[in-house]
Amino acid sequence: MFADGEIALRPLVPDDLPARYAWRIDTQTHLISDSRPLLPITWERFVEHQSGRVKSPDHEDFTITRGGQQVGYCQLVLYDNLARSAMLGISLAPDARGQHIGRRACELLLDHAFRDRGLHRVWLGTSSINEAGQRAYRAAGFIEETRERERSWVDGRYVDEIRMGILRREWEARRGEHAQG
Amino acid sequence: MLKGERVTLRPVRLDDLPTLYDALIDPDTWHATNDTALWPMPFAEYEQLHAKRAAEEAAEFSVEVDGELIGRCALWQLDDLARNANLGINFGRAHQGKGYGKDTIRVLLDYAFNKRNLHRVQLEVLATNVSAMAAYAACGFVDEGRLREHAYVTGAWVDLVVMGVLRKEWLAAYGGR
Repeated sequence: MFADGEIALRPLVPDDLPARYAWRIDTQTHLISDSRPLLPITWERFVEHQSGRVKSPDHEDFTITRGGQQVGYCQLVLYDNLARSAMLGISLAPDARGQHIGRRACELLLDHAFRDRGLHRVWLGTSSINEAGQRAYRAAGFIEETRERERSWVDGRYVDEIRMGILRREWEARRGEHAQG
Repeated sequence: MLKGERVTLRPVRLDDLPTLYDALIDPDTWHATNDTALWPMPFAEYEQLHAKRAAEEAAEFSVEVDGELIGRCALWQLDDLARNANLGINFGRAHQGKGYGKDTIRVLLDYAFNKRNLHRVQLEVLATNVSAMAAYAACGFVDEGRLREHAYVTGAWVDLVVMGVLRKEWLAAYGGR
Protein backbone atom coordinates (compact mmCIF):
# COMPACT_ATOMS: atom_id res chain seq x y z
CA MET A 1 0.00 0.00 0.00
CA PHE A 2 2.79 2.41 0.95
CA ALA A 3 6.40 2.21 -0.16
CA ASP A 4 9.76 3.89 0.33
CA GLY A 5 12.10 2.21 -2.15
CA GLU A 6 12.31 -1.48 -1.30
CA ILE A 7 10.57 -0.97 2.08
CA ALA A 8 6.78 -1.26 1.93
CA LEU A 9 3.71 -1.60 4.15
CA ARG A 10 0.86 -3.87 3.10
CA PRO A 11 -2.15 -5.55 4.79
CA LEU A 12 -1.60 -8.69 6.84
CA VAL A 13 -2.13 -12.00 4.98
CA PRO A 14 -2.48 -15.45 6.63
CA ASP A 15 0.92 -16.55 5.30
CA ASP A 16 2.54 -13.86 7.48
CA LEU A 17 1.48 -15.59 10.68
CA PRO A 18 4.11 -18.35 11.11
CA ALA A 19 6.94 -15.79 11.09
CA ARG A 20 5.04 -13.48 13.43
CA TYR A 21 4.49 -16.39 15.80
CA ALA A 22 8.22 -17.14 15.80
CA TRP A 23 8.99 -13.52 16.78
CA ARG A 24 6.23 -13.57 19.39
CA ILE A 25 7.88 -16.37 21.35
CA ASP A 26 11.48 -15.26 20.68
CA THR A 27 12.92 -14.25 24.05
CA GLN A 28 15.19 -11.50 22.66
CA THR A 29 12.35 -9.94 20.69
CA HIS A 30 10.13 -10.11 23.75
CA LEU A 31 12.77 -8.35 25.86
CA ILE A 32 12.69 -5.19 23.78
CA SER A 33 9.13 -5.13 22.56
CA ASP A 34 6.74 -6.38 25.22
CA SER A 35 6.30 -5.43 28.86
CA ARG A 36 3.75 -8.18 29.47
CA PRO A 37 4.95 -11.53 30.82
CA LEU A 38 6.66 -13.88 28.38
CA LEU A 39 4.12 -16.69 27.99
CA PRO A 40 4.35 -20.10 26.27
CA ILE A 41 1.53 -19.18 23.93
CA THR A 42 0.55 -22.04 21.61
CA TRP A 43 0.32 -21.68 17.84
CA GLU A 44 -3.40 -22.46 17.98
CA ARG A 45 -4.05 -19.79 20.55
CA PHE A 46 -1.92 -17.29 18.63
CA VAL A 47 -3.90 -17.89 15.42
CA GLU A 48 -7.19 -17.70 17.30
CA HIS A 49 -6.15 -14.42 18.87
CA GLN A 50 -5.06 -12.96 15.51
CA SER A 51 -8.28 -13.94 13.72
CA GLY A 52 -10.45 -12.90 16.65
CA ARG A 53 -8.96 -9.44 16.65
CA VAL A 54 -11.32 -6.76 15.48
CA LYS A 55 -10.42 -5.81 11.93
CA SER A 56 -11.46 -2.21 11.86
CA PRO A 57 -10.12 1.19 10.87
CA ASP A 58 -9.39 1.69 14.55
CA HIS A 59 -6.96 -1.21 14.66
CA GLU A 60 -4.62 -1.01 11.71
CA ASP A 61 -2.10 -3.75 11.17
CA PHE A 62 0.52 -3.61 8.42
CA THR A 63 3.13 -6.13 7.39
CA ILE A 64 6.51 -4.52 6.67
CA THR A 65 8.27 -5.94 3.63
CA ARG A 66 11.71 -5.49 2.13
CA GLY A 67 11.93 -6.54 -1.49
CA GLY A 68 8.56 -8.23 -1.04
CA GLN A 69 9.67 -10.35 1.93
CA GLN A 70 8.06 -9.91 5.35
CA VAL A 71 10.56 -8.39 7.80
CA GLY A 72 8.21 -7.20 10.53
CA TYR A 73 4.92 -5.54 11.27
CA CYS A 74 3.62 -2.22 12.52
CA GLN A 75 0.33 -1.05 13.93
CA LEU A 76 -1.77 2.00 14.69
CA VAL A 77 -4.04 1.19 17.62
CA LEU A 78 -5.87 2.82 20.53
CA TYR A 79 -7.47 5.39 18.28
CA ASP A 80 -8.80 8.28 20.33
CA ASN A 81 -11.56 9.88 18.28
CA LEU A 82 -11.83 12.87 20.61
CA ALA A 83 -8.17 13.88 20.85
CA ARG A 84 -7.43 12.52 17.35
CA SER A 85 -4.48 10.44 18.46
CA ALA A 86 -3.31 6.85 18.12
CA MET A 87 -0.52 4.63 19.39
CA LEU A 88 2.14 3.28 17.06
CA GLY A 89 3.69 -0.14 17.56
CA ILE A 90 6.38 -1.85 15.53
CA SER A 91 8.31 -5.11 15.65
CA LEU A 92 11.11 -6.26 13.37
CA ALA A 93 12.58 -9.69 12.64
CA PRO A 94 15.89 -10.16 14.48
CA ASP A 95 17.86 -10.23 11.23
CA ALA A 96 16.17 -7.05 9.97
CA ARG A 97 17.39 -4.83 12.79
CA GLY A 98 20.12 -2.19 12.53
CA GLN A 99 19.39 -1.34 8.89
CA HIS A 100 17.10 1.69 9.32
CA ILE A 101 14.06 -0.38 8.32
CA GLY A 102 12.31 0.62 11.55
CA ARG A 103 12.76 4.32 10.91
CA ARG A 104 11.54 4.05 7.32
CA ALA A 105 8.51 1.97 8.32
CA CYS A 106 7.67 4.50 11.07
CA GLU A 107 7.89 7.35 8.57
CA LEU A 108 5.54 5.56 6.18
CA LEU A 109 3.09 4.87 8.99
CA LEU A 110 3.26 8.47 10.25
CA ASP A 111 2.60 9.79 6.73
CA HIS A 112 -0.47 7.56 6.65
CA ALA A 113 -1.61 8.60 10.14
CA PHE A 114 -1.38 12.33 9.51
CA ARG A 115 -2.20 12.46 5.78
CA ASP A 116 -4.89 9.76 5.43
CA ARG A 117 -6.31 9.64 8.94
CA GLY A 118 -6.07 13.32 9.83
CA LEU A 119 -4.61 12.63 13.26
CA HIS A 120 -3.35 15.35 15.60
CA ARG A 121 -0.82 13.21 17.44
CA VAL A 122 0.85 9.81 17.35
CA TRP A 123 2.54 8.35 20.42
CA LEU A 124 4.28 5.17 21.48
CA GLY A 125 5.66 3.40 24.50
CA THR A 126 9.01 1.66 24.69
CA SER A 127 11.24 0.12 27.30
CA SER A 128 14.28 2.20 28.25
CA ILE A 129 16.54 -0.74 27.36
CA ASN A 130 15.41 -0.64 23.72
CA GLU A 131 17.98 1.98 22.71
CA ALA A 132 18.00 1.05 19.04
CA GLY A 133 14.25 1.51 18.97
CA GLN A 134 14.52 4.94 20.58
CA ARG A 135 17.12 6.02 18.00
CA ALA A 136 14.81 4.93 15.19
CA TYR A 137 11.82 6.72 16.74
CA ARG A 138 13.81 9.94 17.24
CA ALA A 139 15.04 9.76 13.65
CA ALA A 140 11.41 9.43 12.51
CA GLY A 141 10.50 12.60 14.45
CA PHE A 142 9.31 11.35 17.84
CA ILE A 143 10.22 13.32 20.96
CA GLU A 144 10.67 11.72 24.37
CA GLU A 145 7.90 12.99 26.64
CA THR A 146 7.72 10.86 29.76
CA ARG A 147 9.97 8.44 31.58
CA GLU A 148 8.11 6.32 34.11
CA ARG A 149 10.66 5.09 36.57
CA GLU A 150 10.80 1.33 37.17
CA ARG A 151 7.47 0.84 35.42
CA SER A 152 8.34 -2.49 33.77
CA TRP A 153 9.85 -5.76 34.92
CA VAL A 154 12.19 -7.09 32.26
CA ASP A 155 14.30 -10.21 32.66
CA GLY A 156 14.86 -9.98 36.39
CA ARG A 157 14.99 -6.24 36.97
CA TYR A 158 12.99 -3.07 36.89
CA VAL A 159 13.47 -0.77 33.91
CA ASP A 160 11.97 2.58 32.97
CA GLU A 161 9.18 2.91 30.45
CA ILE A 162 9.45 5.77 27.96
CA ARG A 163 6.67 7.37 26.00
CA MET A 164 7.35 9.44 22.90
CA GLY A 165 5.11 11.56 20.73
CA ILE A 166 4.95 13.54 17.50
CA LEU A 167 2.39 16.24 16.74
CA ARG A 168 0.85 17.00 13.40
CA ARG A 169 2.64 20.37 13.06
CA GLU A 170 5.99 18.66 13.68
CA TRP A 171 5.25 16.11 10.96
CA GLU A 172 4.26 18.94 8.59
CA ALA A 173 7.51 20.81 9.35
CA ARG A 174 9.53 17.68 8.56
CA ARG A 175 7.72 17.28 5.25
CA GLY A 176 8.49 20.90 4.38
CA GLU A 177 12.18 20.33 5.06
CA HIS A 178 12.21 17.22 2.90
CA ALA A 179 10.48 19.05 0.07
CA GLN A 180 13.07 21.84 0.20
CA GLY A 181 16.00 19.51 0.71
CA MET B 1 -12.37 -0.36 56.35
CA LEU B 2 -9.33 1.96 55.85
CA LYS B 3 -9.05 5.14 57.89
CA GLY B 4 -7.29 8.42 57.20
CA GLU B 5 -7.36 11.56 59.29
CA ARG B 6 -10.85 12.48 58.15
CA VAL B 7 -11.77 10.00 55.43
CA THR B 8 -12.86 6.37 55.57
CA LEU B 9 -12.44 4.07 52.58
CA ARG B 10 -14.86 1.14 52.38
CA PRO B 11 -16.28 -1.20 49.70
CA VAL B 12 -18.78 0.36 47.31
CA ARG B 13 -22.43 -0.39 48.18
CA LEU B 14 -25.17 -0.54 45.58
CA ASP B 15 -26.96 2.38 47.21
CA ASP B 16 -23.81 4.51 46.65
CA LEU B 17 -24.20 4.28 42.90
CA PRO B 18 -26.72 7.13 42.32
CA THR B 19 -24.48 9.59 44.21
CA LEU B 20 -21.30 8.40 42.49
CA TYR B 21 -23.05 8.53 39.14
CA ASP B 22 -24.16 12.14 39.71
CA ALA B 23 -20.59 13.10 40.60
CA LEU B 24 -19.27 11.37 37.47
CA ILE B 25 -21.53 13.04 34.92
CA ASP B 26 -21.21 16.54 36.38
CA PRO B 27 -19.61 18.33 33.40
CA ASP B 28 -17.21 20.50 35.41
CA THR B 29 -15.92 17.53 37.37
CA TRP B 30 -15.77 15.42 34.22
CA HIS B 31 -13.69 17.96 32.33
CA ALA B 32 -11.37 18.57 35.26
CA THR B 33 -10.63 14.90 35.82
CA ASN B 34 -11.29 13.01 32.62
CA ASP B 35 -9.55 12.89 29.25
CA THR B 36 -12.32 10.90 27.54
CA ALA B 37 -15.34 12.36 25.80
CA LEU B 38 -18.22 13.57 27.96
CA TRP B 39 -21.27 11.56 26.93
CA PRO B 40 -24.75 10.88 28.33
CA MET B 41 -23.87 7.60 29.99
CA PRO B 42 -27.13 5.94 31.10
CA PHE B 43 -27.31 4.96 34.76
CA ALA B 44 -27.76 1.30 33.77
CA GLU B 45 -24.41 1.50 31.97
CA TYR B 46 -22.80 2.88 35.12
CA GLU B 47 -24.23 -0.04 37.13
CA GLN B 48 -22.69 -2.48 34.66
CA LEU B 49 -19.38 -0.64 34.87
CA HIS B 50 -19.48 -0.97 38.64
CA ALA B 51 -20.26 -4.70 38.42
CA LYS B 52 -17.33 -5.19 36.10
CA ARG B 53 -14.96 -3.28 38.39
CA ALA B 54 -16.21 -5.15 41.45
CA ALA B 55 -15.54 -8.49 39.74
CA GLU B 56 -11.90 -7.61 39.11
CA GLU B 57 -9.04 -7.73 41.56
CA ALA B 58 -8.94 -3.97 41.36
CA ALA B 59 -9.35 -1.95 44.52
CA GLU B 60 -12.45 0.18 44.26
CA PHE B 61 -13.51 2.17 47.35
CA SER B 62 -16.22 4.56 48.37
CA VAL B 63 -14.93 7.49 50.40
CA GLU B 64 -16.84 8.75 53.45
CA VAL B 65 -16.40 11.71 55.77
CA ASP B 66 -18.43 11.66 59.01
CA GLY B 67 -20.64 8.95 57.54
CA GLU B 68 -21.41 10.90 54.37
CA LEU B 69 -20.44 9.57 50.96
CA ILE B 70 -18.18 12.14 49.21
CA GLY B 71 -16.87 10.15 46.25
CA ARG B 72 -14.82 7.21 45.15
CA CYS B 73 -11.20 6.24 44.66
CA ALA B 74 -9.46 3.25 43.14
CA LEU B 75 -6.31 1.41 42.26
CA TRP B 76 -6.88 0.06 38.79
CA GLN B 77 -5.05 -1.65 35.95
CA LEU B 78 -3.01 -3.69 38.38
CA ASP B 79 0.11 -5.10 36.70
CA ASP B 80 0.86 -8.45 38.34
CA LEU B 81 4.30 -8.72 36.79
CA ALA B 82 5.76 -5.26 37.44
CA ARG B 83 3.60 -4.83 40.54
CA ASN B 84 2.15 -1.42 39.82
CA ALA B 85 -1.26 0.18 39.46
CA ASN B 86 -2.95 3.43 38.47
CA LEU B 87 -4.55 5.60 41.12
CA GLY B 88 -7.76 7.54 40.56
CA ILE B 89 -10.02 9.75 42.66
CA ASN B 90 -13.38 11.35 42.00
CA PHE B 91 -15.24 13.50 44.54
CA GLY B 92 -18.56 15.25 44.27
CA ARG B 93 -18.26 18.98 43.57
CA ALA B 94 -19.37 20.01 47.06
CA HIS B 95 -16.50 18.01 48.58
CA GLN B 96 -13.63 19.32 46.49
CA GLY B 97 -10.95 21.68 47.81
CA LYS B 98 -11.26 20.59 51.44
CA GLY B 99 -8.09 18.52 51.75
CA TYR B 100 -9.91 15.19 51.52
CA GLY B 101 -7.93 14.41 48.38
CA LYS B 102 -4.54 14.29 50.09
CA ASP B 103 -6.00 12.34 52.99
CA THR B 104 -7.47 9.80 50.57
CA ILE B 105 -4.30 9.53 48.45
CA ARG B 106 -2.21 8.75 51.54
CA VAL B 107 -4.60 6.03 52.69
CA LEU B 108 -4.67 4.53 49.22
CA LEU B 109 -0.86 4.56 48.89
CA ASP B 110 -0.48 2.92 52.28
CA TYR B 111 -2.90 0.23 51.09
CA ALA B 112 -1.05 -0.14 47.76
CA PHE B 113 2.41 -0.58 49.26
CA ASN B 114 1.75 -2.22 52.61
CA LYS B 115 -1.33 -4.35 51.90
CA ARG B 116 -0.96 -5.11 48.18
CA ASN B 117 2.85 -5.18 48.03
CA LEU B 118 3.04 -2.95 44.98
CA HIS B 119 6.34 -1.55 43.70
CA ARG B 120 4.97 1.59 42.11
CA VAL B 121 1.79 3.64 41.74
CA GLN B 122 1.19 6.04 38.85
CA LEU B 123 -1.42 8.35 37.45
CA GLU B 124 -2.07 10.78 34.63
CA VAL B 125 -3.52 14.20 35.34
CA LEU B 126 -4.59 17.03 33.04
CA ALA B 127 -1.99 19.81 33.09
CA THR B 128 -4.83 22.27 33.69
CA ASN B 129 -5.73 20.59 36.99
CA VAL B 130 -3.09 22.39 39.04
CA SER B 131 -4.65 21.74 42.44
CA ALA B 132 -4.75 17.98 41.84
CA MET B 133 -1.09 17.97 40.77
CA ALA B 134 -0.16 19.86 43.94
CA ALA B 135 -2.05 17.33 46.06
CA TYR B 136 -0.30 14.39 44.36
CA ALA B 137 3.11 16.04 44.74
CA ALA B 138 2.42 16.63 48.44
CA CYS B 139 1.81 12.89 48.80
CA GLY B 140 5.12 11.91 47.20
CA PHE B 141 4.29 11.66 43.51
CA VAL B 142 7.11 12.74 41.20
CA ASP B 143 6.51 14.51 37.88
CA GLU B 144 7.77 12.11 35.18
CA GLY B 145 7.00 14.20 32.13
CA ARG B 146 4.09 15.25 30.01
CA LEU B 147 2.29 13.72 27.05
CA ARG B 148 1.93 16.75 24.83
CA GLU B 149 -1.59 17.64 23.65
CA HIS B 150 -2.75 14.14 24.52
CA ALA B 151 -6.22 15.19 25.68
CA TYR B 152 -8.91 17.34 24.09
CA VAL B 153 -10.93 19.18 26.73
CA THR B 154 -13.70 21.71 26.03
CA GLY B 155 -12.23 23.06 22.83
CA ALA B 156 -8.48 22.82 23.34
CA TRP B 157 -5.71 20.28 23.42
CA VAL B 158 -4.21 19.83 26.87
CA ASP B 159 -1.06 18.06 28.05
CA LEU B 160 -1.36 15.03 30.31
CA VAL B 161 1.14 15.01 33.15
CA VAL B 162 2.43 11.59 34.21
CA MET B 163 3.31 11.17 37.89
CA GLY B 164 4.63 8.17 39.78
CA VAL B 165 5.75 7.17 43.25
CA LEU B 166 7.97 4.20 44.07
CA ARG B 167 7.61 1.96 47.07
CA LYS B 168 11.08 2.92 48.35
CA GLU B 169 10.21 6.63 48.17
CA TRP B 170 6.98 6.05 50.03
CA LEU B 171 8.69 3.97 52.72
CA ALA B 172 11.44 6.57 53.15
CA ALA B 173 8.84 9.31 53.65
CA TYR B 174 6.13 7.49 55.59
CA GLY B 175 7.28 3.92 56.16
CA GLY B 176 8.49 3.93 59.76
CA ARG B 177 5.04 3.45 61.14
